[in-house]
Amino acid sequence: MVKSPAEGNDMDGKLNLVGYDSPKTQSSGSFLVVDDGIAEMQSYSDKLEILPLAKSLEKEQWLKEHLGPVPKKVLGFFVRALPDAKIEKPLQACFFMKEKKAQVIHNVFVAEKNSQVHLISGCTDDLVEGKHTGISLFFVRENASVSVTRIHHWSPDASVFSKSSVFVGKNAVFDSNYIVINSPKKEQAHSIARVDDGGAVGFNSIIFSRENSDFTISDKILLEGKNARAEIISRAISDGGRILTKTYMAGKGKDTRGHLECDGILLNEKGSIHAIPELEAVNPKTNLSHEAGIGRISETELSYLMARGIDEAKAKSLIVKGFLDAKINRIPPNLQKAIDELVGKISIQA
Amino acid sequence: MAKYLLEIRDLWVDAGEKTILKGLNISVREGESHVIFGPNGTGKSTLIGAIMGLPNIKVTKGDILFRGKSLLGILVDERARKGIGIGFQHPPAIDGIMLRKLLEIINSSQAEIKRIALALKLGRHLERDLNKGFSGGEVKACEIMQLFLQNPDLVLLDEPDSGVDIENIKVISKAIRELLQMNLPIGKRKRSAIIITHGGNILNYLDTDVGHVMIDGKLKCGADSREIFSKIKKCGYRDCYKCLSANGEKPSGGK
Ligand SMILES: Nc1ncnc2c1ncn2[C@@H]1O[C@H](COP(=O)(O)OP(=O)(O)OP(=O)(O)O)[C@@H](O)[C@H]1O
Ligand SMILES: [Mg+2]
Repeated sequence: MVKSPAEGNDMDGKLNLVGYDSPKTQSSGSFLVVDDGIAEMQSYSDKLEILPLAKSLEKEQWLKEHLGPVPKKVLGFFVRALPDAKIEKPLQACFFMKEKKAQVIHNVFVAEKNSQVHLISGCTDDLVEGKHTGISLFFVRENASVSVTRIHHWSPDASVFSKSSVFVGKNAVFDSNYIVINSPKKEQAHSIARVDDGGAVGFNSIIFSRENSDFTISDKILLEGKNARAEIISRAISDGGRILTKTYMAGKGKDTRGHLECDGILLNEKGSIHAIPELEAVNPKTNLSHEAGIGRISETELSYLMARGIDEAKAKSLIVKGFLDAKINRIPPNLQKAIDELVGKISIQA
Repeated sequence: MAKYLLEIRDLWVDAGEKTILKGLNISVREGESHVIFGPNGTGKSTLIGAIMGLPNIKVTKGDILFRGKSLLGILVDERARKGIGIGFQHPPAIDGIMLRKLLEIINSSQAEIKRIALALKLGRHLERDLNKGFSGGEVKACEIMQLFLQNPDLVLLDEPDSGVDIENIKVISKAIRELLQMNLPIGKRKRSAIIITHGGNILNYLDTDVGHVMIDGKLKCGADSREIFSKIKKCGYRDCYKCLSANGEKPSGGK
């Protein structure tokens, strides 16, 4: 396969695109997997433990029931933010496929009571027909707060399967931002969160699907405890690819609240977006709502901008960027770079 | 005699499936401002859209010349860059595009943006999404602000006064006067305009050259727009149209 200079063998550049930066002074720790080995692992905070999962499994017997059967040489991290730790800089992790065609990752992330911690996790590859599987478990203990930013950037012929399970404790907060800049041939991304009393979950996703890509994202949130809250915001942009967004929220506990929103833009005729928002109220004292809207770029908006002398490509990218910015206003600064990259691509292609 | 900046001859235009303009003529010289009156749905906005090149408006016959060259087949953004600017009758609101950001793309001068925003009382709107939740009057002021920054040679104003209260009409008119250099004597003005209006109030503040009435997709014109407006008030669009004679061009004998 012939590669353009931008997609060349520059590993640092690739890692950079998915939020894995050097110097590492801006982070609280780092964890890098290249193919089937850990290439970097370092904690810069005494409140943050980072270990290979294979090593910690002996000690953390309780994980067995959550993880199910795993390979003997299980690959991935075990991260623990200690009780009361307030870790401002993010932990950066990256999973890179360089030569080996298959990669299976298991990660476990534990935020102990009253801790605050951020994770930036990137996945990318530099090969033909890679297969990536990522299984993640997040335990957000009582009163803890975790934000996770995941950035994916794949070769066109990769296939990807990911599954995240999140346990949100009493009065804990879990916020996830998931952005797919380059969609693979096939990706399935499943997330499920269970939320205890007073806990809150936010799932934000931005999926950009190019031609010949088939993308399924499924977000499930179970509001189990009293006063649990959730919000799912999904933004899908099809530039020729197929996107299926399945979002589900169940209000099981008393006085639970949830809102989900899925919007999509079709940039051309080749792709499709299929949104299935689902709400289930089990408890009579739950309050759930949803909004969904899918369409083309409005011709009126486009010609309005063009009438100011702005060319079509730029006008389109302004509208798409507006569409992304409009609601996800809690976009962390590190995501902004990825979004700019995404919007930049649209203006090239328009 | 100055050359025509805009010259439209025997223009036939379809909007959607319908033929709206049926052999329309209008010619605008450098520095002239023309006013068009006409009942709802006659095709005034369609005409402006045809000049600007907006989608869903199709010229089936005739030509639109700008500085002597045909505009047909040229895209909207290129027409804008050639010096044509439009103030829309119904501008859209766009999510996530901050007004200031759009203005900065149109014109890079921060000082100019600030000056015009203050003049049009939009200083506090700059950080808001474009037209989002703007009042009817604010939307109109925002159109004029963008035109100011764009600096076109031909200004197309589609009902700049509709929905604007009597005090803000003064504010907007002042800005339009400056935009169209109406404080200069007629021969000295460079910028030209076509202004569509249903209200006569704005004409009291502006200094326009000629008025037209549009009926059934055609135009006829007379000497003075204020005069035409009072005739329309007295005997209606159709009778007024009947008694006008000149076809599209500022009558040369008048002044
Ligand atoms: N895209 C379209 N599809 C179908 N009909 C259209 C379309 N655009 C305009 N029309 C019709 O063309 C006619 C002229 O419309 P236009 O907007 O030019 O009228 P106008 O003179 O500006 O009216 P008003 O004073 O109400 O603004 C109307 O009957 C309108 O419904
Ligand atoms: Mg109109």
